[in-house]
Amino acid sequence: MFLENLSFRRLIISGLFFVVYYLEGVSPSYSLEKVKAENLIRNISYEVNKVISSGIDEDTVIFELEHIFKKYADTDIMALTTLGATRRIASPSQLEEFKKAFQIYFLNKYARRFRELRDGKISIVSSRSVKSSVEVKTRIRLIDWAPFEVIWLVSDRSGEVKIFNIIIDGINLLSSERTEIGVMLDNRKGNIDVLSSDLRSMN
Amino acid sequence: MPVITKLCSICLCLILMFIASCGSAPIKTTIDDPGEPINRQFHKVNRGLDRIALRPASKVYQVVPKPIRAGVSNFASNLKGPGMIINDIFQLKLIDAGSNSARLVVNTTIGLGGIFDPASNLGLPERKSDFGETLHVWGIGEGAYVELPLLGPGTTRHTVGKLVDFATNPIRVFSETSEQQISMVAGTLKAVDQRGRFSELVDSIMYDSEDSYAQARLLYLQQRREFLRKGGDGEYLDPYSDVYDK
Repeated sequence: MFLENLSFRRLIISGLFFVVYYLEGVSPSYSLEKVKAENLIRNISYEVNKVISSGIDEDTVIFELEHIFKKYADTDIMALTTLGATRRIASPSQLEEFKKAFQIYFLNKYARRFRELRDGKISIVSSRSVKSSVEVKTRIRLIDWAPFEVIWLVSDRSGEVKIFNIIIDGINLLSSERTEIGVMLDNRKGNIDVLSSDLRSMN
Repeated sequence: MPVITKLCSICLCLILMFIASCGSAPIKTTIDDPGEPINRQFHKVNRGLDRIALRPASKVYQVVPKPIRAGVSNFASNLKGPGMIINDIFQLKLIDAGSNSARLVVNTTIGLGGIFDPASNLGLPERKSDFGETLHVWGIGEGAYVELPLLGPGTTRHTVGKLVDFATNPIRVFSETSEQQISMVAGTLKAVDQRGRFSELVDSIMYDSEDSYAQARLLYLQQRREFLRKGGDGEYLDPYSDVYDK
C-alpha cells in the first residue's frame, strides 16, 4: 500500500516536472519573446542605415546615431555593471550622476563607430533565450571584408525592450567597459564623483 | 628501407590513436597572468614600436591603392594555406582540410599565384587553423597569458604554436632564400595593412584607454577563445540578475 502510494506520488511529481519543463521549452511567455528582440535589432539596423547613408554632414550623423543608441540601449544597466562593487557603497545620487555621465561617455565612444557599417548588410542568423534575455545572432557583411558575427543581447527587464550588450566577433563590449571603468576608478582612488565628472568631459 | 616505412606507419597510427583518444581542452573564462609585471614591460615596448613604426607606416601604406594592398594581403594569406591544411589534418578536421586544399589550388592557379581570391566567391572562405589550435584540440590547456615584444599578446600555448607554425611552414622550409624574403615582406605588409584598417579600434585601445595593457589582454583572450569555440555558444554575465536580484 505504502509502496503503491509512493510510486503514485512519484508519478504525479515527475509528471508535473515534465509539464513545467515542457511548457518552459515551448512558451516562454514570462520572459522576453524572441520575435520582439529580433524586431528591435531590425529597427536599429534600419535606423542606423538610414542615417549613415543619408549623405548629411558628419556631425549630424554622429548626433543622430547617438540619438538612436540612447533610445535602444539600456546604458543604465551597463553603467551599474561596470561599477562593480563600488555600486553598493555609492549613494543613490552618486549613482544617478554616474549613470548620466556614463551615457555621455558611452555614446560618444561607440555611436560614431557605427558609421563604419556603411554599405554593410546585416542579417539575423538565429536567436535564443538566455536566462531572462534574448541573444540575437547576426552576420554583418561589408564590402572587401570577411563577414563577421555580431551578437546583440536584449532584455525587457528595464521595462522596455532594449539592448544591454554587444559582442563583436567574440569581443564583449560590456566586459571591456567593466575593465576600463574599473581601472579608471582605481586611478581615482575609488572616487566616483571625480570619475563621473571626468567621464562627462572626455572627448 | 621497409623497416623505416613500417616504423613510420606505426608512428602515424599511434599519433592518430592519440588524437582520437583525447578531447579538446576546456575553454577558460578567467584570466591567468602570473607574469604580469614582465608582460607590462613588454607591452610598453610594443606600444613604443607601434607609435614610432607600425602606426606611421600604416598611415603611409594607406596611400597605396586599395586593389594593390588587397592583392599583397591575399598573396600573403595564400602562402599560409599549406600550413593550415597540415593543422587541419592534425586536428582530424578533414572537411576543413579539403576546403582549404581546394582553396589553395583555385587561388594559386585562377587567382594568379594567390594575388586574387576567387575561392571566397566560390564558397571556399579561409578556414583558419594554427598549431596553437591543434594543441588545444589535443587537450593541452591554454597556459598563462604572455605578451612578447613584436609577437604581441598570446598565451603560452598559442606562442608555442606560433613558433612551431613558423619553423615547420612548408613554404619556408622548401623554398629558396629569395622566395622566403618575398613571403616575409608580403606578411609584413599585410600586418601593416591590417593596422591601417583597424586604426580607430587599435588607437582607441592603445592610446585612449587608461590601461591599454588590460584592454589588449582582454581583447586578445576573448577573440582567441571565440576562435577556438568554433561558433559554439559563449557564456555571458546577466547584468540584470547581478544588479536587480541582489
